[in-house]
Amino acid sequence: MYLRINSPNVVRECFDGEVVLVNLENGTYYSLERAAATIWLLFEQGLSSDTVVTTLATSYQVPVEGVRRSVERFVEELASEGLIVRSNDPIVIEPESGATTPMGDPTAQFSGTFSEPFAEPTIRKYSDMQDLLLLDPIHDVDQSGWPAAKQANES
Amino acid sequence: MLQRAGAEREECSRLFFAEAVHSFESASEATGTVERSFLIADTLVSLHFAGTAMEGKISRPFEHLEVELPRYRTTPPLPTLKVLIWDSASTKTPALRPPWTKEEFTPLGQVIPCRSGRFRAVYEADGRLLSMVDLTTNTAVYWARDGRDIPFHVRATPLRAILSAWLSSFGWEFAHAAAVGNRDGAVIIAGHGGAGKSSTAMMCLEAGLSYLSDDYCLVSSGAAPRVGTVYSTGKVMAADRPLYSTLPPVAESIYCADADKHLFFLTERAAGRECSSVPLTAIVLPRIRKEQTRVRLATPREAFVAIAESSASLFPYSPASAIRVFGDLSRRIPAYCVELGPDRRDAVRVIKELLESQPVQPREQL
Repeated sequence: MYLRINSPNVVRECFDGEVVLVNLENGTYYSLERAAATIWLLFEQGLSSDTVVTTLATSYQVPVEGVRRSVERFVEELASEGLIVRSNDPIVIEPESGATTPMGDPTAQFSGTFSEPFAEPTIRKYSDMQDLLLLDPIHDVDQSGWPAAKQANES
Repeated sequence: MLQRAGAEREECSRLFFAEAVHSFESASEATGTVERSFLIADTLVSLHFAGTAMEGKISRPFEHLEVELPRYRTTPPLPTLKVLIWDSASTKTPALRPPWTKEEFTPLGQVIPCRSGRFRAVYEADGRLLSMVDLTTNTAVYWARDGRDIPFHVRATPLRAILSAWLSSFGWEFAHAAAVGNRDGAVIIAGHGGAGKSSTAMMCLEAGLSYLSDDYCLVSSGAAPRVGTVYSTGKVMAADRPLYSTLPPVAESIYCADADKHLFFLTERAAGRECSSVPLTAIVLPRIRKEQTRVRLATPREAFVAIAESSASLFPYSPASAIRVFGDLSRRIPAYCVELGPDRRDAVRVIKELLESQPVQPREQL
């Protein structure tokens, strides 16, 4: 199994090892750190799920099966948030998406070992932007078919 | 949800756009045309008004960037966007009817079939305004049901959707941020509404700094990140008006009772077209606190979230490219959390220090 970012609805930025994902559909943004960021970047570089698991197990020096369960849970969570698209074929790099960039041999960056122990990958979710985006949702259309503004007394 | 093939969607949008242009021409024949041109981010934006009802509502915030055609010429000619502006009420032309279904509008009015490709379109329900750009012919339409209904926030920052789509193709993105500086550079001040953007910008104007924006400015990354002005407007709480001695008379402002704010047109005071964009030297993230003012270096991630969060309302226009520019700037430009104490003049002092001592440099060299 391969993953790709759910572009153009989702964009990502990296800051000092942290991956920030923004869902432009609803304004929610997500922060991935440590193992979660590593897993994301490995998938983003076009590795299959099996390769990601073995790369992590080798780098963190932990059993493969435990890592596999963690990765599967993590992928499930990414999918449920609409951040990724799963595929049985290797991902196609989409230059216009800006989300994925070929970086040579991706496993080369993770061929060493990490000094910190492997921790369960987690996603931190923020809805601050969502609050701003949904300040004035359109409820209906008027007689001529244009969206009607939300009335002030509507909740 | 109604699904349409890409080609069919674009053809539908093309036909509607042609109909809108025809509607403008009808309005123009009936009421005459007023044309005014503005130099915005090294492009020429030519506004064609059918009649005068919309001209008075739309053009004033751009007057600091106005150029006289055909006297103003460049070699080679600048990229030019032609914007056709009219309202149905004053020109007595039929209202446009959308070719899109209810499901084809996002909650903020973006037309889903026009999010990529040749056209961009947004309908602002509160002002009953349609903005639509044809990026192939460099033409846009800006239609209002009734020009008298244009809301306060649109009077302050009109044509944002159109300019956002147009300027994005030249590497400029709108940021919800104030911007002040001098001829050598400027800082952007990013944060939520109420964080102190407008008041800080107005205080900097009062202190003699160059004024680029109190609410929405342009930013670009690339080899040398820059910040640019679009609107000369400044908003001031009615109670704070006496704090500013250099503002135009209140009688020349527009008052919004709901917000208890005056909207001033700072045509003579804002950075004009001679320095409409300058290097971006720092990102300032204001915070209000009760104790003494203090400043600390912000992380790139803090800067990114502050700019992206407060610019969230821009997402319908050019979301992905804007996010990328914000991310790039956040990684490259030093950012500071300025925790403002009770004396708001501290913000001016800090910004002046940043401008005087802050050449553009990578974060790791700080």
